[in-house]
Amino acid sequence: MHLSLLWLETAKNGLVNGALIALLAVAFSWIYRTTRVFHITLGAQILAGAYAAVYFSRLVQSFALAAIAGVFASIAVSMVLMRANSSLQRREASNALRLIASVGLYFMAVGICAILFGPGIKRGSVPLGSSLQVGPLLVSPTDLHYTIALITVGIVLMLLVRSPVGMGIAAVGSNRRLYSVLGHAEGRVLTIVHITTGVIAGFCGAFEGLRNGVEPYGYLPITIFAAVAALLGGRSLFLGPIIAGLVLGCLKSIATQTLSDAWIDTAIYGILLIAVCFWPRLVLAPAVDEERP
Amino acid sequence: MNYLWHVSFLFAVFTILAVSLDLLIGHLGLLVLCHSAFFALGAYLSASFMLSAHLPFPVSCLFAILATGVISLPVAFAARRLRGDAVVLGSFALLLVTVDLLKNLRNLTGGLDGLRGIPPVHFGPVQLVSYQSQAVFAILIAAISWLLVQRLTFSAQARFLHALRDDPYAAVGLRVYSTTIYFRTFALASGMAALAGVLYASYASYINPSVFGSDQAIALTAMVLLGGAARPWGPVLGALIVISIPEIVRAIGGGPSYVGAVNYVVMGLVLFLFAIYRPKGILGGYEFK
Amino acid sequence: MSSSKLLSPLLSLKSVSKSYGSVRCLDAVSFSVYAGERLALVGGNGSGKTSLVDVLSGFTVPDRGIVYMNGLRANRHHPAWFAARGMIRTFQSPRAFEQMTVLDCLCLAAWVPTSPSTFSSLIQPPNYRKKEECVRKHALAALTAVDWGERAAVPAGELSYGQRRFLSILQLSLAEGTVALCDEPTAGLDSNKASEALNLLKGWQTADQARAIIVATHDLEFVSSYFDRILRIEDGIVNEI
Repeated sequence: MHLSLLWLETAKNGLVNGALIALLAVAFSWIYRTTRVFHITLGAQILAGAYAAVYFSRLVQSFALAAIAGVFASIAVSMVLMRANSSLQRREASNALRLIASVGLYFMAVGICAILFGPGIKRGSVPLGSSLQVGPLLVSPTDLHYTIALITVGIVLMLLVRSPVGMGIAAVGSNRRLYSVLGHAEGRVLTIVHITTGVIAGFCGAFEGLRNGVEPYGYLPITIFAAVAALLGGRSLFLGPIIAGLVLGCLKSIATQTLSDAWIDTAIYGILLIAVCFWPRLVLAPAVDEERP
Repeated sequence: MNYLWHVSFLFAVFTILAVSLDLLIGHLGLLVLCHSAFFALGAYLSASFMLSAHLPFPVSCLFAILATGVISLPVAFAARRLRGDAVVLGSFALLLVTVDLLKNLRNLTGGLDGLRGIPPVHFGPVQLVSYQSQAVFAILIAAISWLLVQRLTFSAQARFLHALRDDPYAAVGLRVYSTTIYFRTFALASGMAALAGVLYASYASYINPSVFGSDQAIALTAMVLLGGAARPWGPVLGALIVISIPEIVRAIGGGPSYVGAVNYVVMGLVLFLFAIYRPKGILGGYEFK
Repeated sequence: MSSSKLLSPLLSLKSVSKSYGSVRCLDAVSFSVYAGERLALVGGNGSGKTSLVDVLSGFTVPDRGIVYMNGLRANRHHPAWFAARGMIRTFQSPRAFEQMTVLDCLCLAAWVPTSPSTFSSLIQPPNYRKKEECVRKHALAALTAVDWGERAAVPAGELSYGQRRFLSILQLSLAEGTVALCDEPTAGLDSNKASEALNLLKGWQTADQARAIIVATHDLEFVSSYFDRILRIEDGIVNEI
C-alpha cells in the first residue's frame, strides 16, 4: 500500500514536471522552427520570469500577480532576443555563429542575474495555504495552481496552432523567403512566436521560482530537457513536444526514485549528444543555403 | 610579487589553451565548445596517475597527454562528419556530459570534492614549488607551444588543412583528401589542452569539476574569437584580455562571486558582439561562413 | 588506331545510366578515355554534362552500368578514391578556398604532400624548405605569366565569379595528376581569358603524354581548335562526332 502511494506520488510529480517540460518544449520548437537557431536563450527567458515572480511576490503576496509579472519580464527578454536574432539574420551570419551568439546571450543573462540578485537561491513569499486531499494523494496549492495554469496555457496554445498563426509558423519554418515574397508579414509571425514563447517561459519560470526558489546558474538543465523533448517531438508544433515532454517528465520522476538527480541530467545531455552525432537533421534545421557540389 | 607570478602562470596556461583551441577553430574550421573537457581530462588523468599509481610527474604528464589525444580521436571523427552548428551543439553537449561525469564518478574523481594533494611539477629531486618557478616553467611551455603551432600553421601542411577547412569538395578536386593530417592536428590540439591541464593541476594541487565547466569553455572560445582565429598573435591577445578582466574587477573591489558573474557577462557579450560585428576578431583572422 | 589506344583506358564507362526522379540524365553512356587525349563533351543546358562529370569523378553513383578507372571498377568509390588514382577536377560553379590567398591556392595545387609529415612541418629540414621555396617561385611565375602578379596576396574569396573560374584553371594547370576533368572551364570568362584558360589546360596535358583531359562545355567556339576528340551529349545520350 505504501509502495503504491509512493508510485502515485511519483506519477503526480512526473506529470507536473512533465507539463512544465512539455510547454517549454513547445516554446523551444516554435522559436526553432521559425529562426532555425538552437534556442539556448530559452533559459534566459525562464530566468527572467522566475526572478520577476519571486521579487514581485514579496511586494504583492499574490501567486497570480507574481506569475503575471514573470510573464511580462520574460516577454521583454524575448523582444530583446528577437532584435538580436534579426541583426544576425540581416548580416547573414552562419548557423554556427548564430548558435555561438545565442550561447553568449544566455551566459550574459546568467551573469547579469548573478550581479543584480547575487548567486544564492532567492525565494518568493507567497502564502502556500493548506494542501488538498485528492484520493490517496496530498496535492499542494502550488501544484494545483500550477496544473490549472499549465492546462489553460496548453489549451490556448492548441487553439493557436490550429489558427492562421500556426499556419504562419509552419510556413515560415518551411520556406521563410517564399513566405515573405508572397506578401505575408513574416515579422508579425516572428513577433507572435516570440511573445508566445515569452508567455510560456515566463509562466514556467514564475512557477518554478515560486515553488523551488531561483538561482542564476541552475536553468541550463531544464532548457536542455525542453530542447530534447522538442526534438523528440519531431516536426509537430504542439502534440509531439507535449507528449515527449510529459514522457520525459515521468521518466525523470521515476529515475529520481531509483538514481540520483545528477545522473538524470547526465543522461539528458547524453541523449542530446547522441542525437546530434547520429541524427543531426533531427536536431538542427538544414541551413537555407545547403548545397551539393 | 607572488600575485604577479600567479597571474603570469594563469596567462601562460590560458595561452596554451587558446593556441591549441585556435588549431581547431582557426585551422580546422571547427567551432568547438569542448576544449575545456580536454583540459579537464589532462588535469584529472595526471593527478590520478600521480596520486593513485604514484608515477613521477614526467611519466604522468606524458601518459595524460597521450591518453587525451587518443580519447579525442572519436570526437575528431564525429566533428568531421557534422555541419558547423552541429559541431557547436555536439561539442557543448559533450562538455556538459564530461563535467557531469566528473561530478558523478566519485570513486574515480572525488566527485564535487575533487582531488587534493596533487604533487607539484617535479623532475626527480627537483621540485617547482614557488610561484615564480612554476610561472617561469609554464611560460616556457607556452612559448614552445606557440612556436610549434606557428611552424605547423605556416607550412605546406597548413595549406592542406586550410583547403580542407575552406572547401573539402574543391580540395578533393586538387587531390587534397588525406584525413591523417586532420586527425593528427586534432590530437595535437587536445594533447596541448591536456598539457595545460597537467600544469594547472600541479600548480593548484587541488582540482574539482567546477574549474572546467561551461563558463571556462565560453571563455576559451571568446579568447580565440576576440583575438582573431588563425592569426599568430590572435589567441595570445585574446588570452591576455580575458585574463585581465577578472583581475580588473578584483582591483576595483569585486568579491569572488561578483568576479565570476562579471566574467559571465563579459564573455557572453564578447561572443555575441563578435559573432554579429567582428567575426574575424581584433587582428582580423579566419571568418566563419 | 592511335598508339595511346593500344594501352588500357584511363577512364571508361559501360552503359552508365542515371536518373533524378523521372528525369533521365544519362542513358546507357559508353565511352573510354585514353592517355594523351583531349576530349570535349559538348551539349546544351540540361543535356547531362555535369551529371556525367560527377559520375566520372565519383561525386555521383550511377543507377546502372560500370565506371572504370585505371582498369579498376569504381562505381561505389568516393571522390577521394579517384583523387588517389590521379584525378583532378574543377566544378561547374567555381569553387575557391575563400580565406587562402591566391598564391597559397597555387602553392597548394603545385605541392600536395600525399602524406603530410607533421615532423617535417615542425622541424622544416633543408630539403623541405628548398621544396617550399621552389613551389612558391613556380606559383609566382605562373601568376606573372597570366598578369596576375599583383593578386598574389588577395584572398580567393574576394575574387569575382570569372576570376575564381580562372583561378581554378590556373590551379589545375599546376597540379599533378593523370586525368583532368573540367566542367565549363570558360563560363564567365571573356574570349581572351577563355583562350588563355584553354591554353593552360592544353599545356597541362601536353606536359605529360600519359595525361588526359576531359572538358564539358556548351561553348563551341574553341572546341575544334583545342580538342582532338569531341563527344556530343543530348538528353543523356552520348555520340561521337
